[in-house]
Amino acid sequence: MIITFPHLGSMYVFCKAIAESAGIPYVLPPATSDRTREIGEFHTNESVCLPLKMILGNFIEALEAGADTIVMVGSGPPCRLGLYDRTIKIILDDLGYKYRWLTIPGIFNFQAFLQNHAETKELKKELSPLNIAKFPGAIMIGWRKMRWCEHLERLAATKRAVASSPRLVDLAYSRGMEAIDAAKSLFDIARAGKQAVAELEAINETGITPLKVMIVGEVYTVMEPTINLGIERRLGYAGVATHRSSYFSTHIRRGSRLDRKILKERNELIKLADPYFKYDVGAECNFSVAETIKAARDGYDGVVHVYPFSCMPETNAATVLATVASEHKIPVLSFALDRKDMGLRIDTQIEAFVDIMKMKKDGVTCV
Amino acid sequence: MRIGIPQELMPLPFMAWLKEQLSRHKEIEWHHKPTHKSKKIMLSEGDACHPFKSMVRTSIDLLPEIDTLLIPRLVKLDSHLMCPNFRALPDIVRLNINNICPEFAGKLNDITVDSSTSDEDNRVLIRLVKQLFAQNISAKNIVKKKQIPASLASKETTFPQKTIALLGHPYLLENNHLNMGITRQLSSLGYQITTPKDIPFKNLDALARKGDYYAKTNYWRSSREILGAFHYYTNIRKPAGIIYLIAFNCGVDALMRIELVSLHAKLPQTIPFMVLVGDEHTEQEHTATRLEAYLDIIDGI
Ligand code: SF4
Ligand code: SF4
Repeated sequence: MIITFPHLGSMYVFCKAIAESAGIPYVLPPATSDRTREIGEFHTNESVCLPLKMILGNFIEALEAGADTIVMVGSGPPCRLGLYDRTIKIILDDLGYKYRWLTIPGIFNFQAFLQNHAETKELKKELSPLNIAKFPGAIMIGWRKMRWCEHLERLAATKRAVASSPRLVDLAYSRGMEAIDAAKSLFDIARAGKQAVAELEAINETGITPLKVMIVGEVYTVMEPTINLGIERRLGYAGVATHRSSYFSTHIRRGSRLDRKILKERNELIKLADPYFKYDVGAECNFSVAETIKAARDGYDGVVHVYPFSCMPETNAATVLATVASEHKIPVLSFALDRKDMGLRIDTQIEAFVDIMKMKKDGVTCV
Repeated sequence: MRIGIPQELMPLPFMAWLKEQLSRHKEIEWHHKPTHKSKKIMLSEGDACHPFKSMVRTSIDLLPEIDTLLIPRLVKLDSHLMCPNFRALPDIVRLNINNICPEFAGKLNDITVDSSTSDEDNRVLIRLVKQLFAQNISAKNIVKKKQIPASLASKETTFPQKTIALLGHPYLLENNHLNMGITRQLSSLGYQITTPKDIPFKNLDALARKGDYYAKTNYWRSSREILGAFHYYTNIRKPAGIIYLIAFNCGVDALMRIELVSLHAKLPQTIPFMVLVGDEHTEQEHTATRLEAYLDIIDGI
């Protein structure tokens, strides 16, 4: 058994750490690239959402590199995320790949339990008692690595905006991520994390108060730079500190339904979006709207809304956000992302968006 | 009383049933197509699919000629989910009303339909009658949804020679504007058309079950209808060809298309299958060319 998993956000750090610590052979798919996206595009169609295309590309690249068991976090209705695995399996089967599949339930219910039982029946036979014994510790290591990586992501997203040289932030961030990835024990992880934080904090600052933007939208698009075309970095280079609530660890905590605080926050957000959406549209739609309202209340200068082209829930959110922006007096910039060649367009739009936010902040109004 | 329901929703069997039932309790002047189209600019529609944009536009255009705009929030029908757009539809319409014609605010009725059984359908109706006509009705007075004759029981394994099966969402199949006039074109070329509407949904749902496993049921009602119909037309009663009509950017069909193309490739015998994607910019000439080529293939077999 050689497992693989999507190379997305901090999720791959989590999965890789678990495999490594439990002694399970794995193939890390090559970093998500243009080739990954092109493979995904080639085997799907124009209206399939970008995250599915990327994940499919990841899996094909990993299977080509020798993986034979795919591990993927599952999800449920009402939008397409709950059918990603069904669709990806059809494509891989048609392409003639031989593989096994393990869904990590995104929602813990009886069906998910049955599916997990069926999927792991054979796989368990290939795991030694030692692999199984190491599993709880491996999850702990994976979790800590992911949390530290996300902490660095957060820090870098605000630091770029104030750093004399944002490039130094990118370098310190990459070094930190590599060190955390390479750490073997909880102690080493904490040391690598603290070291990276110290490096990031030591970078000289301009002293200018940055603009503050909240990033909202579809989960994979918000979290994964290869899908959102590095939106956080682009904004950071334009002097904008970015914040977001979506991290893989947050979604795991939500899915497990164990963290009461997170569930309470989610319910409050649903209420906040109520004047616009009287029902949960699905995925992050209502939360994109609610977080925009909250951002306006919390004094953010603007909101960037990112989602894959053809995403049903977020297309509705985008329509509503046009009204939210004017009613709550907060600039909102929406990006429906698909092809990679949008980078320059994004930069141009960001420039204009930054001007709008600055003018608003300075009280300048257009005549 | 004048009630408007956008024409795009009417091909859904639930909506036809609802209309029929409401008419039994009050004299209603129904409006589905607006008599004139307003030039008002809608809120940004982003990259929504054509049927959805069309539903919103028709709803707004109906407002001046009606007392109530009925746009149920269709969450679940026949125990299967509707696409997320149907959850948002009443809200997007409301937002447009507030923005461009606030004088009509208050005309919208957006009763939620989250229905798995005919009893639940009935409860929606009872609530609606109360809301619209301030009348109490009992479940006993409600006529059940009409069952389509069970064509699955038919012993026939083929259709008349020149029959094409059309797959797609009901509003695409029945609305000439949304389907780029494909049904008209087929008829004018001498072809008969069969659609999933001719087969009871229950049967289609059962056929769609073949592809389900654990949590991975294809949970959208329309996907089940389309998938079930594909199995029916390729295994039970075979037409000369199958055309799958898709609205550009439809998230539901984007996945179903992959599944159907895969199933088609594995069929032991050939049955010409074409996927036709269109949007508001697709002209009849575009589809005509593809249709002609496709029919040449059928005629050649
Ligand atoms: S939220 Fe949007 S992008 Fe994500 S799976 Fe659903 S439709 Fe696709
Ligand atoms: S099912 Fe497809 S065509 Fe229908 S509203 Fe949803 S996205 Fe649009």
